[in-house]
Amino acid sequence: MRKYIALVFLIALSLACGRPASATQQLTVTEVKQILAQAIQEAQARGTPAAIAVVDRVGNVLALYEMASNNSTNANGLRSVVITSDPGQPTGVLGKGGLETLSVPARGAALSKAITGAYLSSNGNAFTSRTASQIVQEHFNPKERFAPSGPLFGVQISQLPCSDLMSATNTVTIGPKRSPLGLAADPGGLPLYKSNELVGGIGVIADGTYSFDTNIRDYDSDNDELIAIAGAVGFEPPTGILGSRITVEGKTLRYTDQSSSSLASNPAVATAFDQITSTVGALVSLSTYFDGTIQAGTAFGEAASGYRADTTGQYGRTNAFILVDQTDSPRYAPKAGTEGTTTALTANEVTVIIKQALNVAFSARAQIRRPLGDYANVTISVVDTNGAVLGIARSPDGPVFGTDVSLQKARTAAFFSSTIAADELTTAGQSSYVTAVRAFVGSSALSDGTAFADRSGGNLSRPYYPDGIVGKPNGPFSKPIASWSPFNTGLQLDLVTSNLVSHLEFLTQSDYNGDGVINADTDANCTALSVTSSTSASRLANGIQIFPGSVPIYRNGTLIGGIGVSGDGIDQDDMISFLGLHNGGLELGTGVGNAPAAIRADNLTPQGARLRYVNCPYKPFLNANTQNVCAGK
Amino acid sequence: MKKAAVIRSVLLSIVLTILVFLFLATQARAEETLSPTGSKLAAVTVNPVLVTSTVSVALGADTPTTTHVTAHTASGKALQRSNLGYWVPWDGNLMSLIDNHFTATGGTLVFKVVKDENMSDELFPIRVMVAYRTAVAFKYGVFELRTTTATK
Repeated sequence: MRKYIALVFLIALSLACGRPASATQQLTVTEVKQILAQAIQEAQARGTPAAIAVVDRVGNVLALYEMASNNSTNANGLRSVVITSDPGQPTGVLGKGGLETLSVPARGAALSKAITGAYLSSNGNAFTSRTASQIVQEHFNPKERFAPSGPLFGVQISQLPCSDLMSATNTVTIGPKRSPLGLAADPGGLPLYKSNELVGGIGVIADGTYSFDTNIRDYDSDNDELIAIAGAVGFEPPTGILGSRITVEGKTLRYTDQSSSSLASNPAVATAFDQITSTVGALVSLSTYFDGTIQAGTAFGEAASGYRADTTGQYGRTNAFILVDQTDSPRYAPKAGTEGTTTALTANEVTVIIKQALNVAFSARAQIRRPLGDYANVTISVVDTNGAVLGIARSPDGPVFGTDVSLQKARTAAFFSSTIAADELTTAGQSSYVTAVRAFVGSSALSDGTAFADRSGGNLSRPYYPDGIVGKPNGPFSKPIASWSPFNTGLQLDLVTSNLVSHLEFLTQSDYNGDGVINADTDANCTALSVTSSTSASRLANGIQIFPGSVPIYRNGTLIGGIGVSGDGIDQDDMISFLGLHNGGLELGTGVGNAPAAIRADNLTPQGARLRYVNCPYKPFLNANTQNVCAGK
Repeated sequence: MKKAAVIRSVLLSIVLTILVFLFLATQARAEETLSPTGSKLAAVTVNPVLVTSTVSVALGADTPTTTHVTAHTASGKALQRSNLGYWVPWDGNLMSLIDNHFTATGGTLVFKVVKDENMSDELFPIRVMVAYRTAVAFKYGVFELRTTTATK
């Protein structure tokens, strides 16, 4: 009996402290049809024709469906919706710029929402596009004056169609797949689960606007969200991992504003998808994403998904995960830096740094996962000063969004810490930001070799400086608050706007920028920065990221790259990058490590407020009581 | 009668020659120039089952001493073309580039990037760099090879 109790205890403990290394669940075609049928029925009950997207966990589009509608269409007959930060004024709020007022294909908007539900979630946390809305605004919580910005401020500008990491074709199933509009903050994007395992997401847009929720103090009855909830019935996450069970900075996250009890229809009696007539709507295609035929999803963790366990043991553990291509070959095995200098990172150094960062992650108490006591699940990227990817690895259940974001973070730290950043930005037509940051920080900013962690650059990318303090001016990389929105962030967006417009022109065959030319699809190379000969791409080939989780890498004071981490809380991401690099340096003994303290950005006090470098959790480890783990390093 | 047949034959040859020229012209690219900071060249769309791609570069006053071709696939592979036309792994270091020995003719350098290759196992787009060294500079340009089958 004791043995039996001990066995039960061990099983329970293993379930509590870890997740299956390799999921086996996947959506079938029958299930995709069921999800569509349930959503269509709810949309009919609400009298709101919807565009509906279903994806698997790595962004493969399993279905795109549009209900018949008289809503606005563009010149080519594509149903469209408008990007706006004020749905009350769908033509856009006066003074706001960036992507605001752009008319985008409804099916693309629905897809971005579905991808958001899938990518932000994991087997330990279920987040929605409403959760995204809560954590990307100028205050967290939104409208909470003087509170700092959302912890994932800027994450919407990721998974971009121009990213060199994201897969841009539906001829193969490996992910992660790109998203036409990046991540969405417009409610109506939910994750989908089977047997407690994340298998994908559903995205719905029916209201004509692609926006976000500025008021968290009420509970909306949002048709997009309710239709998505109906579609997801039978595919809900375990209650224990809902975003509404997870706190960040003491604030509870929001999963949805309504539940299935508010539905206008009964999903259990939805008309079978194959019985729905063409007068109701039809499956629709979207070039490079979906060909109009419903697909089954991939099983995350199997090679076909583009993610699987590492079998080489190179990271000193059996539960590290890697990215693979369509032939099951590793995509980003550790390699040496491309600079051709004696100080460049070696392949072994990259391996050790990633291994040590993984060690920190597997030891760290997760911030955004349940049950309590789970370890942090993240993706780790290492780059050189050319932006070349030197290695990517991850823990098994890191949210997929962290793949692209960790690379963005690594590149951002390496780029902004370089002495060529100012010249590069000027070449790319962003000289106004160089002028602004030099007026703000000092005349040699972005060319004097100051070490910028993503937290430091993020400080300068907020619409208030210091962060959240109403009445203070914007940081030099941000738009002023009067024109700031998640669709008009500043340098981060401006670097990739032309890529996004090219992609929209390609998808819709419409002339967005009025230049008389309908562009071909964007290159898999974000930004107009110069292309390096070592990578054939810009140093920021998937854009920049402006929330914490990366540091530059040095060898005896010489910049040689960056490490980026994404997938858990931002303090955990900071710690894993900073401490992983520190520990890697100790193991290697080759002079590799963090920036010398004297050149870190936290020596700077623009406008009388000190920039931050990293912020590590106070007592972060599951099996140790160590405190202040980053102090003095 | 015989003379007329000969004329017809000559005319036919001329027409065929023009057609062949036009066909080749559509497969090749307009002449472009490379630069020390990297020129962005126009993307090329190919059928991955049978890929042929050449790049003609105007040299101006340059005299290339070595010529190079590299490729970065969407899956993350970095490759370079050897002088025998094989694709081999490349570490991204400019010092390890292999000379492809392309020769200039009349101020133009033609890079034979790929010829009749089945690239259906590769993940597109593929970013290609063509480059040459002179006595004083390394000049390069980058373009994207895209597939006609990006969508099923």
